[in-house]
Amino acid sequence: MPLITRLAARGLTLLGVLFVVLVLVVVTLGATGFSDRMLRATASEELRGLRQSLAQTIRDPVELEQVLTLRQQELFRYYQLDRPWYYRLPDMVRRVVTFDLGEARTVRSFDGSSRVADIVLERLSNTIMLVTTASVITTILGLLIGPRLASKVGSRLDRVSCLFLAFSYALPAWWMGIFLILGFSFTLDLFPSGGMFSLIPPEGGIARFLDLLWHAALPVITLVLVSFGSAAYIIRTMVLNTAQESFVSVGRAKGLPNRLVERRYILRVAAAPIVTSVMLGLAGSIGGAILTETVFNWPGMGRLYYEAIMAADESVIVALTFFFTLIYIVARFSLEIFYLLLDPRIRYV
Amino acid sequence: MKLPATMKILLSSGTGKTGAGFLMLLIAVSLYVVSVYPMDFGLLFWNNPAVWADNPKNAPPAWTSIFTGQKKVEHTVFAATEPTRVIPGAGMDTLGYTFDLNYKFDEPSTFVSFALHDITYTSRPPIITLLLQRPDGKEMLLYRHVVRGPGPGEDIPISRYMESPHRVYLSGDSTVLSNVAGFLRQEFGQDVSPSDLRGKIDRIIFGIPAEEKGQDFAVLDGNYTIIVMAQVYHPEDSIGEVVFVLGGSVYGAMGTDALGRDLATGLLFGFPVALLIGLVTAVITTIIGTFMGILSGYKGGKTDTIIQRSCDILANVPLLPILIFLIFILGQKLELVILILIIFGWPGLTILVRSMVLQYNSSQLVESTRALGASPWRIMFRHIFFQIAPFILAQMIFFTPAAILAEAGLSFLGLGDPSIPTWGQILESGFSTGAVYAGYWWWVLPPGLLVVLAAMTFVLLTLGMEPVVNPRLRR
Amino acid sequence: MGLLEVKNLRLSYGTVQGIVPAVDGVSFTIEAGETLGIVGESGAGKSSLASALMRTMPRNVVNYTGIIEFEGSNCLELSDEAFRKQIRWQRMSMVFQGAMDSLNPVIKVGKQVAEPLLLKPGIKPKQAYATAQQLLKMVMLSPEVFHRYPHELSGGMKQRVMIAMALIFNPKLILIDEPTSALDVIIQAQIMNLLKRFKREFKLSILFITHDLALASDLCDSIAIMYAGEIIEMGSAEEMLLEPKHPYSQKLLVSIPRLAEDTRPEFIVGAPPDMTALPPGCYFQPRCHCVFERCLHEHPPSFKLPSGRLVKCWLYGDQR
Repeated sequence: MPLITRLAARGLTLLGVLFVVLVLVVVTLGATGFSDRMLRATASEELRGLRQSLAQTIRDPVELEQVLTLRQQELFRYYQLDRPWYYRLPDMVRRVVTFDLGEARTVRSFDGSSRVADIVLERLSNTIMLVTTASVITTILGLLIGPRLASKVGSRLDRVSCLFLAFSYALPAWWMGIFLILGFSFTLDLFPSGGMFSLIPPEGGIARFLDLLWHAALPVITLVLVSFGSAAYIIRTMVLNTAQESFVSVGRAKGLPNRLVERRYILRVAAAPIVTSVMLGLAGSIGGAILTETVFNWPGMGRLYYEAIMAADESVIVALTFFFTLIYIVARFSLEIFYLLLDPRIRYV
Repeated sequence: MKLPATMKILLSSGTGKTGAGFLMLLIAVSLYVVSVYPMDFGLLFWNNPAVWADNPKNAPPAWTSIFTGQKKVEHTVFAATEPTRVIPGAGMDTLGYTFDLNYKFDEPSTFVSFALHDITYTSRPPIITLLLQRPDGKEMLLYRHVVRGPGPGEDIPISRYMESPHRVYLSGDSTVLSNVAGFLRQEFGQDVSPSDLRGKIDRIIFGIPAEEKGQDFAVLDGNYTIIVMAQVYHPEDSIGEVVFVLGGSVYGAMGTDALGRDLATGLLFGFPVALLIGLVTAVITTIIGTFMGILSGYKGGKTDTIIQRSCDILANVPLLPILIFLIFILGQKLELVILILIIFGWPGLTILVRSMVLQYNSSQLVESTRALGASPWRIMFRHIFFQIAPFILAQMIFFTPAAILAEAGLSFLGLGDPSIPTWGQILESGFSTGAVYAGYWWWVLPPGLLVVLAAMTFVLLTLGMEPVVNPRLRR
Repeated sequence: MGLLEVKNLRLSYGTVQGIVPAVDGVSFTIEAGETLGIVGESGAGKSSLASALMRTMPRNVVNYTGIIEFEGSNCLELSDEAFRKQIRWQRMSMVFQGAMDSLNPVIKVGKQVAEPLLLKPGIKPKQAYATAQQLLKMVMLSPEVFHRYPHELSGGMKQRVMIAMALIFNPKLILIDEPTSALDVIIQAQIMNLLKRFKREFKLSILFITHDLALASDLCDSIAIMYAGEIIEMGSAEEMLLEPKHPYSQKLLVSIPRLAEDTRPEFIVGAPPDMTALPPGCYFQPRCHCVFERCLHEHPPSFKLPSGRLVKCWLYGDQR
């Protein structure tokens, strides 16, 4: 049962995060008049449609106007545009949560739909693909490098590596991306400068997959380069702390081979705090993904952010903000479960 | 721990030393910029296209010539407010301005232009003549201009070119064309109609007819003298400024962008801005975070629960999406960015500080001061605070690059504050106009490198602080 | 020849302050079935001695010399790998302070006990687990402990697990390092009884490390007193208790509270020596109540008294 309690507590906190973001979004939209504009646009869109269809039957312009005015008032009441913005908050929350955000102004989905939900959702998998691949590579690299540095703490290698890791932390993803484009795409012409597939994608499953890999190489390298430094550094510190625990000397004294001690007595024990730090780094990789996608024109949700900002398409931005928070929370919660599986101390207490 | 001891440990490590050195550099450049640049540099200069009109566009830095092997024309502006000499004459004076130009390039200039500012005269309008003395001893008349005469009812003295200068783009001017054609005819015996010389003016001014076939003009290197003669008819008449621009294909230390802006000035201005963003955010975040953390840990009970629950929530909000949303909706203001970074930044520190306070709260020192009857505030901020001060300092340094990187990322997405140029914005303008795909590396690489430098500075300091915070690592 | 013969063992650590000796020329012998108690204040070098024997020293060891002859082979001549494969835990094992976090928090108790056996070629996991289960039973733990994680056990239970763990290979010699510190008196007594039983039943040789002279006398056949990295007195437990020779041993003895007698325990004045700056002459000289001129300048060697007792004190210099 304590397991459930702990999970429930974390779940509640994360739901709280979602709630705060939601309230922040809708209150900001309401107070600044953005929601007003969005709803008015939706209403006038409807009225325009109505005018066209009514114009066929009602010939008298005066009467037409009367009917339309009546309908407009109805619509305004329906959207609660006749009341101050704060009365509309619950309705706005519902709209955001259900992705009922109407039409985007200029941004379109790949097959031309202007529904905000369509635009955002079709890019979800592209972002997840990119971020997951990069995270997995980052974690593996961190796990390979961190413990090695910890075992040589204080050495020249350790100090030089720490400088390099600091550099990696200070590297902004977008600049790294630009650097790689200039180097490997513009100068050496080894990789494409952006996109997900060639202009005319090759036929056949494997060829298509290779094309995807070829395009994904630079964005993935960018994300890995900017994040593995702090990952390795954190793992180094965790391993260093765990290696000083007395059960590690007991493990050694028991005559266990060094590699087994490292794996079972240090890494395995440090795994839970390492996962925690990965959790905390997650928000950072979302930011990194937004910028990396932008640089490499990767058709994910991050690039969509840039396109929506450039086109000043507020409903898409609202949807993206909510969706990124949602992804973040789902990812956090899964890691939370993972953490519980790793650490028996918490699992049973 | 006392500050001097902290400094000593910090400076004992290589990382700490490097970080401190970088910080000194950042501060020195920032102080220079703050004392030299106007505060509204962004609006008045950077984002004012008129200032940069004369500059070449997308020009690489001048020093790149060293690597390309070809000597490119370095963009040069010759300007004078006072005449070099005054030649008195009968009923008129001649004001002479001379500029020496040592032309040692492998190509003709991209353009030449000439401008006159603030001319005042009393009786007759001055006549201005622009001449060029060439290394081959020949003299070339480029341009002659008579200032517009007094209009009906105009008061004396008469002012001209006060608001906007009289600017002539010599490379495309038709009177220059015929002057150049005359020069060719007279000096080299070539009879070419002026219209055939269109687009070739620069090659004639800084060249001679070529010997080999296929090329019409070869570059003539050597010492040129640009002479401006102004005939004025009254001792009070004056000319504010005379400007001759040699349009280059390379520019200054850092090159120019698509608008011809001198990237070096923008990059320099970014120094104090980055430092300001980083430090203001870090300091305020740390103050709030520490205060709330000590309060939460010391008070306990309901206060603690409320603070901790809010912290849990705020610290878990993914920052960049929220930042993008709020800045997009509320407006692109730098102070707003800082405010948001603070709002979502303090809870992380509060959670950490609280856990440390709980440790110290039950320590003997605090117990005994409590027994001695010290007030809670005194205990909280004298005894507990001083225990955790080095840790807090380290956290503050750690926050600084985060803020710089966040602002740069936001600017890169096109949400920078337009009134204040930052490194992120310079990069963004390069990215959004396709400079990356055109290979204009001098536009996109340096601003990013500076962001890295600034962030690195504080990361290195944080690393150097590690032994202070974690005594186990002290060696 | 004894089971374990240690001659002139030295171990120093390299630190910022320079080279700090931890074990400074220690010699002793443990016969088969014998229990030797090493008694001393914290910082006297007891645990360093144990780690020198088990070769589990920290990385900053700079000087590790002497002779450790165990069952006829000189351990110091073995490579780390050979020592690990031939001796460590299989023939010489150790009981660590179980109340501290000496158990891996993420591995179940049973597995931790059986772990070294599981790695032996030719031993089936079932067999190993059965042995572990049996050992847990022998240290009076209920079978379900096998499936528990360390944090679910009390301090006393953990200490029992540590003992079971040390016995998995049925070793000839076990080192026991402060097994009862941080345990309450009743648990302490239970653990001590357990150790006594094992000593009897398995004919174990034990090196018992403690700061508690009374505890050592309860279990040990002979006792060695350590001070500043040296053994300053060594003899049979009985004699050591009845008639300590070295002034430090005498002080140590009177510092034990006694229930039956009407004497108050005395404290030893002064603090244990700073190993980075040892005093000239005898290391105990600044705190000694019998100090005389010679003690201030010359470091005393070990004097063997007729009774077989070894004392490192100038008071007995003339008896050589």
